Amino acid sequence: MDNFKHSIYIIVFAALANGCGKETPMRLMSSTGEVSQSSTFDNPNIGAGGGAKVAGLGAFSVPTRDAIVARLEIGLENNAKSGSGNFARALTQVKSNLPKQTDPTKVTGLDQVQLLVYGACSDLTTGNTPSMKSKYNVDPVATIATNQTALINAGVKMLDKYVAGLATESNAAATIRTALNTLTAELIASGNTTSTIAFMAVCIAVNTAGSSMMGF
Amino acid sequence: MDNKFFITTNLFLALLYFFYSVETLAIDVAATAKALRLSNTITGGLMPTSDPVFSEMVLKIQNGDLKGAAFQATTTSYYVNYLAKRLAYQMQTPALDASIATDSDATAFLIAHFAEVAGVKPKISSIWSENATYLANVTAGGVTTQVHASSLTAAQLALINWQTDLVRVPGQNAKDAAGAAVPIPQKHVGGYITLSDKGGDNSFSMYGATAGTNLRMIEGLWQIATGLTLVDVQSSYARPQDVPRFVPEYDPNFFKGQGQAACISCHGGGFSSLNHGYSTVADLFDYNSTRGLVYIATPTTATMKSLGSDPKRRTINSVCNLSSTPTAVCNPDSLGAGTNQAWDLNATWSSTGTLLKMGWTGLTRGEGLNSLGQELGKAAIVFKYLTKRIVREICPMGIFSEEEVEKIAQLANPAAAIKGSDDVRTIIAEVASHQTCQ
Repeated sequence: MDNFKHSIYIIVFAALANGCGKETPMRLMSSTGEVSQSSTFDNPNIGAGGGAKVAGLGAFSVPTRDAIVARLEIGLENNAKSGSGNFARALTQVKSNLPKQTDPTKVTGLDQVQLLVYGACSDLTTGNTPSMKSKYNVDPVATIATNQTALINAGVKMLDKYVAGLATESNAAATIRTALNTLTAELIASGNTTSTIAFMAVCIAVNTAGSSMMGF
Repeated sequence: MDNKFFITTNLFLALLYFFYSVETLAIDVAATAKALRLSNTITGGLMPTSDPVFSEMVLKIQNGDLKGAAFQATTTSYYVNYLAKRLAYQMQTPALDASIATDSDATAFLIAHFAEVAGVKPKISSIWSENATYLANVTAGGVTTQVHASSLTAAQLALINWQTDLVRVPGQNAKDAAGAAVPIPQKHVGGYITLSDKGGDNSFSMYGATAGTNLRMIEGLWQIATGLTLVDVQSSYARPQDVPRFVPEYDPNFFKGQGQAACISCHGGGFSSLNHGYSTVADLFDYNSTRGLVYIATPTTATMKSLGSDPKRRTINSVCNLSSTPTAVCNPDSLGAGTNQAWDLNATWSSTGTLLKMGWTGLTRGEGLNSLGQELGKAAIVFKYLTKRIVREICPMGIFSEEEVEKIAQLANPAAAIKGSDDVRTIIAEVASHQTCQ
């Protein structure tokens, strides 16, 4: 049941990270880059681009496969590499499904990102001294409660790699810590899971969001 | 669901919040967020934010130089390894699908034209004409060797820096019928489209010259360079003489299409007319599934693709005796591909306005693929279409008027009234810093 809850958590987070529920201007371009249909009617002078009306959505591009893989390596501080371990195995499985183009109105495959992240994060939990402990101070044999601060710090640290330190230095820092605190508190309350699973939950949530950010 | 939904919502909203926050903390949030957007769209996120270039970009943005910050990103190896490579991959087929391409001499050549590598400035205009091959320097055991991109191992590819590891080698080689390497004469060099050292390399050559009649080769060249489709340039006001030999003139659709375009409209008035470049590739090239691009120095009836895709029927098509059995599939009025590989764009395209549409400023007649490629590199449409492709890549939801696209394209077009940079990075910086892209 806990696994189910974690899955729900991951899926919901990924959906949010992928833009679920946001206004996505549905405008079409032909293969020659010309705008067609609704945007042409709105503005016949548009020569290129989808014609987003909402400020800030102009560059609402989607990271493609190579970008996602590279971001993930950076987000995990190269403690997991795409050429080895479960990261490589997951990439082999999902690479043909990951996003191929940057246009958010046409792209598919963002739902595969969390599967890739799952593989990459799991590489941090293996070995006699796993990276989750040596790099993020999360002790796999200690309780989640004991590790809670380290888990939150790990999530923030990872997120910082994607956003140039803004996870700790922006006004949203407290919100982020609160969210991660609530997540780990939920896991503590569940009572029957491990610190490794808790680390995976934090790692997957943060890195799915970070590696598949649209518009950045 | 407990409150996990709210947890995730909070995290996501927090992400959005700090991107759009303008308040000043230890980090300049607004400038950092803009730099992050530029960096991630131009380098794909390959550039760590700890890289000194990222800090320089933030500084430029703080000083109001968004365009300069964008250009800064294009000077890095991260740009070369991501966007330049992606643009190169796309150009191997008219579908512009980067996901189906692999590293080859053709992609290495294009990367070298989209970035400053091997000490050579980026150059859009010579993409279809430069007589050079770009190889990768690979060092092992203290020894550096030059390796074709298609021969790089996975381990070598993981380590390669396309900005610093490419080396320019003058000339281009193909294979002869026996599989030996032969230089392609300058007259027939088509830049990246005549580069392939190995079969199955997913290069443009593989797309264009595998089996068939090489129609794909000339049509693909035009489509990828201009963004125009076959129907955009077709015209049935063409001469049967300009239609390749293998197109049957007796077909009821030849002069007037019945539920389809007339054969003559594309083969005589469109991209695949003998005069519009088909003669420059038809009989000279083939693609072998193990050897790569084959150059046929001395075409014979049996090897001439302009006589049809089936080698066994080329003799009968060449003779074109319509009373013979089986009936020859041919156009008896065709002038044939010829031995000089001549091209003349004035035929049909001057009267249909196609040359005007292309912004053609160069010569309209010549001989050989190389001269056609040189003149193509001066056409305004090449720079305009590249601009639109860049918009689709890094600012897909932006709003760019035709005038703005034109203006940006001119900044890169060396044949424009005010000579442009010939550098795709100019286009990238302009697009990325556009007001609707911020």
